[in-house]
Amino acid sequence: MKFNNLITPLLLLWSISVFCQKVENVMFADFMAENKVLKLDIQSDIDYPFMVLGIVKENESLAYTVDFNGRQGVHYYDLRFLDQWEGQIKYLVTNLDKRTIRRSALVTPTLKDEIDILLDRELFSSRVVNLTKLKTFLAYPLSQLIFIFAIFLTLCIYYVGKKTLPIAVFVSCLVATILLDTRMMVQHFRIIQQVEDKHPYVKPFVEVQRFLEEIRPIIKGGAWTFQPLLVDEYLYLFFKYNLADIPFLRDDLENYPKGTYIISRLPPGENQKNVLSKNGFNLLQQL
Amino acid sequence: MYLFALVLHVLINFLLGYGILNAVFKGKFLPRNIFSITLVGIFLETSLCFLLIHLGIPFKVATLILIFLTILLNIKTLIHFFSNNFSSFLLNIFKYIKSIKWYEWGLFLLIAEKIGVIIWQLLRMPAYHSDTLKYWATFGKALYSGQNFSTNPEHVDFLARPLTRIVDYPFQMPIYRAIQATFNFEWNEFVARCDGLVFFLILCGLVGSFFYELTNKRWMSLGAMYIIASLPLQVWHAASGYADIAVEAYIAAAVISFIRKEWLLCGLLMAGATWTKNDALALFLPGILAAGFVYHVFSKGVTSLEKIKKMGQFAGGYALVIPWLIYQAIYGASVFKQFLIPFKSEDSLGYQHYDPNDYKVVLTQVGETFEGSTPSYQLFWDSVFLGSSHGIFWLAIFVALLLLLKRMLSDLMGRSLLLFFLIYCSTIYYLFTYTHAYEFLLIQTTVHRTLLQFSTAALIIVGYGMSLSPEKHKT
Repeated sequence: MKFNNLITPLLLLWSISVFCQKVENVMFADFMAENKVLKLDIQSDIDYPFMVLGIVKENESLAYTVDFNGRQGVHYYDLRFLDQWEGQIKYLVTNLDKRTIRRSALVTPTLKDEIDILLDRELFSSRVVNLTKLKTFLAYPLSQLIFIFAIFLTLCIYYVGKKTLPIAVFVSCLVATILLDTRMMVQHFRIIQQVEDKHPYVKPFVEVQRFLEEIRPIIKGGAWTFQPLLVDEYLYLFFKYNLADIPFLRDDLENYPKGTYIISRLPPGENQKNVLSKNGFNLLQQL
Repeated sequence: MYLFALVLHVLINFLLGYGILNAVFKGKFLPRNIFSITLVGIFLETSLCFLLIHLGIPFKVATLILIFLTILLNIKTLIHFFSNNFSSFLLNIFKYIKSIKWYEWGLFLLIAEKIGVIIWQLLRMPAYHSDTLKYWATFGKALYSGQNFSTNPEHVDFLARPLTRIVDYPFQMPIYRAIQATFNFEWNEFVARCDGLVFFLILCGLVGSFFYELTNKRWMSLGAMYIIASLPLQVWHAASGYADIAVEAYIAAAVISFIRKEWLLCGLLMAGATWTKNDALALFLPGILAAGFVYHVFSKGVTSLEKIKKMGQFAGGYALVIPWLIYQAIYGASVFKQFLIPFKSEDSLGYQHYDPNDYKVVLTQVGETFEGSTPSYQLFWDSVFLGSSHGIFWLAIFVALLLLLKRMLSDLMGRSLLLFFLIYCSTIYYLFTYTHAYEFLLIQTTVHRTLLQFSTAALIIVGYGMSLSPEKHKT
């Protein structure tokens, strides 16, 4: 089957964006994209499950992927801004578990559906410092539409309001910015809600934070290290920062000095004892 | 308590900057420079602290020495201010608040929302983002605690490298956080990132005061502040613990000093930016040097000696960061090595030797076309101009510059600023097309925050262009 040949590039690409989650679900095969959006009815125990949609085109070995936060219930997901979302499409796939999708369809959106797409929320994650997710309305990037509105407003202020061009440009940019920022402000309050619900713990560190609370009093006064390559890089950084005020021994040593505490996901090895286990992490001590 | 310690620290920064500039450089600095002087104070505080700890003085003692030095330098000024000006200062603030119009309050509230979100993050969230955990806060925490840190190059804990594994980043932000922890009597999650709030407020102050100076309209200055404050990435960066917002503040202040022809201050601020993050050295310094050179060479009615003196003032200010660049080259990795990778053979890359399998896309852009890779100009257009990370900001900046092109070309300062702008854009294009940073453009990880560093300076350049009347020809 041709799709099998595509698994490798798919996984390669997706490993970047979905942290090695597996491709679970081929939703549609051999269809015309036209002006359609994806309608999904999601039932999930997880709030806003992370979801990647991938497009595989005929005669191409690449999958074009976009990530979303799935919304519980019936909602619409837009891929029309992708250049690849046109003509014949070989597969539309997702990493989302088949059991969480009650119904799926490709539909031509009404205005109400377009508003549903516009109101999609972005969750707080480590990537907020890098980029804000693209927002679209009527298949166009929102900033592009607002910019056209700003040009129109500039012309109105300049010709009708009889203001100077710099003032007209400045005022219209200001109004356009307020329009775009309104959505961001709603986003801020949603994120505050999202984080406050879990306070003082934050995803994806909840397990690590709880583990740290227990091990800190134990290893204080000693030295600590990691069993190399057994903790996800991001979690690894979180450990390092939080324990930076306690002597750290390089994690590439062959033999740890006696008494060293070792954070690991493995059970104790030779000459080691398990001091504490919690949330998949073990605190070992070198004997 | 946290906020009080931060306010006190910023006040000390301002006084240190003010005191040293007055005592050493005999500068006459105006109230309009309050934000730039604070930035200079931060630069001087952190670099002096770095020097003191290298002389073997314990970190907390070094902090106390700096506080003592600040009080000593400003004792006369402080006595004079509190005995004569303090009550009138408070009265002026009260009068100012009373005169604010309803629409100005509207803009002010929009900005206040951003400040609220930043403070909320600082108080309710831990250090979270990867580079903060990797370096910016971890280095500071190690320095403050005295664990896992040494200034001895032979020591295993030299510059907290076993923890951070980073050999080329400057130290301004970590040192500032460690000093803040000393003011706070402990390290906590607020201290780990709170400088972002300071730089955010400084940015607002810089833009607001500069636009007010240009237009004499308070609503325009608040509007400009709001445009900068509302950039989508700004509120996250102000509390993320990254250094990009600090670079943004230094570069914005340097461009304002450039426009005001305060060459010494401009040099000091560029030095501060270099001491904050390598980006300033690689991306901004070439442009500001070229712009300054063009401005001085083509300015009329000034003798050659005066021109050399002014260029010397800039060089004198910038020279304060040269020891760090030498130190970085000896004990770390010079940023130039990375920037010049495309011009080097793989064998000469030394520590930065990279596996072509890891950076296929780099070879793509450097050499021949790689099948399936998107050209960088298309990525810039799609993700920077049409994306959501900057709203309409960059589209508006480019359109405004096109509209203002004639005015700016007819003015020597305008031409110099345009040159700075173009060199920055070319450098960014080069960086994200011909070095391994192409990968970061492709997956949009650093390109937006690199552009964020320049956003305030770009608005200031446009603001300057707007202030030129169409008839004005200053050449």
